[in-house]
Amino acid sequence: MEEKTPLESFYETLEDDLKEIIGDYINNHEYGVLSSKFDALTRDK
Amino acid sequence: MRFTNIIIRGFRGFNEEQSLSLDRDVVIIYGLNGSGKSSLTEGLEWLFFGGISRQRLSRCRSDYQYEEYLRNLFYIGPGNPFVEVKGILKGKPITVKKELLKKGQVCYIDGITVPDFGRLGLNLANYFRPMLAQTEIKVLVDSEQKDRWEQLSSILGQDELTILREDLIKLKREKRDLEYKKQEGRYQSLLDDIERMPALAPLISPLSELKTDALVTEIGQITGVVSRSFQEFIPEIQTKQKSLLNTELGHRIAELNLGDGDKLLEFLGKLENGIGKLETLSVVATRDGYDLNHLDFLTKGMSIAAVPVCPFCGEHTFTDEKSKTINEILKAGEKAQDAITELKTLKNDIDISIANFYGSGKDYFPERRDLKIIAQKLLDIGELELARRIQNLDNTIAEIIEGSYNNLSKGKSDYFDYLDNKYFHNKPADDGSLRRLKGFIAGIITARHEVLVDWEDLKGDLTKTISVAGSAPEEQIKMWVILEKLCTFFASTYNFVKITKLLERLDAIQENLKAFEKRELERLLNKHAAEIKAYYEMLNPGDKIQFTGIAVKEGERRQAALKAEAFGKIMNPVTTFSEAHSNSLALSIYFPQRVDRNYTWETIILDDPVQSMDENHTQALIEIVAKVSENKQVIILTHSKSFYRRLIARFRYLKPLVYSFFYNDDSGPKISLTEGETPSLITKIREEVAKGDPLSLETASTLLRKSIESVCVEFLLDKGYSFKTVDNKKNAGLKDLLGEAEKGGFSPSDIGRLRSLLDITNPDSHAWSIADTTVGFLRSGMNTVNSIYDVYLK
Repeated sequence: MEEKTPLESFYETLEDDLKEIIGDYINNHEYGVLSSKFDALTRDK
Repeated sequence: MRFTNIIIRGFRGFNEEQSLSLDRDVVIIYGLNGSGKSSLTEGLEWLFFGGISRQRLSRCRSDYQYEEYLRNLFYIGPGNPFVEVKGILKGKPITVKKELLKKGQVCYIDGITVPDFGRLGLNLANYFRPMLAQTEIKVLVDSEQKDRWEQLSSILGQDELTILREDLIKLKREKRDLEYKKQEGRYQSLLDDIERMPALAPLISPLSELKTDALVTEIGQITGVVSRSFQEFIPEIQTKQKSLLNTELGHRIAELNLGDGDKLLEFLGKLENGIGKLETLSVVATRDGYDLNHLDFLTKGMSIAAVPVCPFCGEHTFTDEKSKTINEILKAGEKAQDAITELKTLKNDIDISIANFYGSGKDYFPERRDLKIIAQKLLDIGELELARRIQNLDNTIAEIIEGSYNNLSKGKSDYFDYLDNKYFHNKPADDGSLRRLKGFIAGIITARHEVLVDWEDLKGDLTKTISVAGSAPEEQIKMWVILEKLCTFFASTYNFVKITKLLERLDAIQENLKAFEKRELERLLNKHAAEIKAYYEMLNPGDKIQFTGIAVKEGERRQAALKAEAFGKIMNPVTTFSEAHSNSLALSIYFPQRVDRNYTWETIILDDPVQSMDENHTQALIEIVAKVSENKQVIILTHSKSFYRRLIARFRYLKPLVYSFFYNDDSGPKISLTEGETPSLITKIREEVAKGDPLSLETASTLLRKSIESVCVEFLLDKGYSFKTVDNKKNAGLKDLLGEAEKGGFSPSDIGRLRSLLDITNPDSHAWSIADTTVGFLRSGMNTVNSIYDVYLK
């Protein structure tokens, strides 16, 4: 089995509400992904 | 990335363009010191990492200025010096090239100019260099602890955590933009207001925690309004405010400060009194016709004429009687002088009083600031006419104060002129000035009285509309104003709550990350120390001195120190290891860090790694390299003939590319491609025999003897004999060497064929030479050795 990267291991330690923010970033280390997620979470529903 | 070819021109030891194929799993480069082989490593270093270790690690870095040291000393062109590598990256062929300009450099990928090689996706940090340059070996051990920590942090794959940390910081900074900061300021201001207002204490907790539902509930309880949103509160709060504002206005009207009339009377009385004294003093100052100029003349005359007897004729020109008369006149004039002094002081006081009136005049009249507020509030509630009348009254007061000041100033000046002209200059004087001045003073009192009468009239009209009863509801008004601000804020900036809560979650991620990094790095560090230890033990089996781990020192900047142990004592490898142990430890650090964990590079380049190694260490290193060669391309450069031979023997099964850098001159290194020492010797024999002259044939004879020796040595090493054993046999002489080769597997007939080439007239001699030096014999011998090489070693 492939060993988890440090980022993936870190992600596993987070509570779900924090995972929600950086979940997409873990798969794609792009700042834009992080920023877009932030905007999506703050956008009025 | 793995390499298939390298072309170098005009760089370091290379002058003329040289192209070397590297398209093999193992490439072995042999060359004596100074033959130019390290320039090859440096070319690869400069191409990918922008600098060479020799310069990077030098203590004389200023000697390496302007990149001139990279250009070959004899290079004259054409074109710029360059290094170009062809290779395979992620399964696709790629060409990477860098040209050295007079200033700077140009990078190319597949012929296209690029700013750098970042897009290749290779690890390009110094501590991921796949090449181990000679100058680096010692530095891997002998480096600063803080630098080691930073390198380890990156090598252990913590970079992505560092990038996340930086991305989180960037995200917070970007999302806390100017608009958000303004909202944050308003929010903080609201929190401060509410904390100062006891009646709103129940709001503090839900507001500081941004619990909007709880906040709505609490506001509902305070206001008595049932609402589900902040927006719905606002009209109710505004109605309440209006009612309270009317009450507040009435209170302000009732309590209007009318100014201090007594003080005005006191001020004007003093002023009038002072003015009244001026004429009396002027009379005294000029009584009996005392002319001030005359008195001054007499005083000066007395000082000049105070000589009782003429020094030349002895006559009494200035008699005592004359002196007495003058002194009496002057004495009588003293009273006039006192009056003049007092007059000046009094005039000055009057000047100051009138000047002060410009600023203090407002204190004697109804408070204009309050009148303005009342007027504004009347406008707010739609009482336009009353507001206008208040504004008129305010304007009247302003005009009275300014007019009174101007009148007093003008009247005073006129009266002072009257006194001067009448008493001191004997000029015509304006007798009406005092009367006018007194009129101005009386006018001020009258004007104030009229203002008060106007105000009373106005107040009477105001009270018809505004109730002036009750106490001031300032605190209540403030409370409702704050509540309105609060509801407006949340009704208009609902996103603020979301952003703030999300930013708080980012804070939580950062905190978690900080703790995780610390914990994880220590865990990985222990794991990595075990990797180093394993390599060290492979290179130093059974050695009493052992590498034991990496100690982390906490502090503002973390540090990592290497640890070792010998005979139960802890030791610092940096300060205590021998050159050989340091070399082993450096390689033990290099392999896990820059080979095993260096995932983007599929090549390693070792430049003379056996500098001070003995045979056991060398053999251990070869075995490590053999293991590495299972996964990566290996390029090894060495000046050691024995290491070179052992490498060829060990890697023969991989058919390595073998190059000899046999000498170097101003045109660059001379490089030959060979598959081993024996074929190389055969080639040279062929060249010498072809020349045919006696001296060449003699040389060919010597080379043939060496080729017999070489084929035996290579065969034995290939069979796994230790180099030491083979070397001993070689030194003992061809007889022993051939005997050992026979034991190792050469057939008796082949041994016989080799022996037939030698002069064995004296069978016990250790210095058998070639039996004949004729062209035919040498050709036959050359073919014999070549065929045996082909059978056993090709």
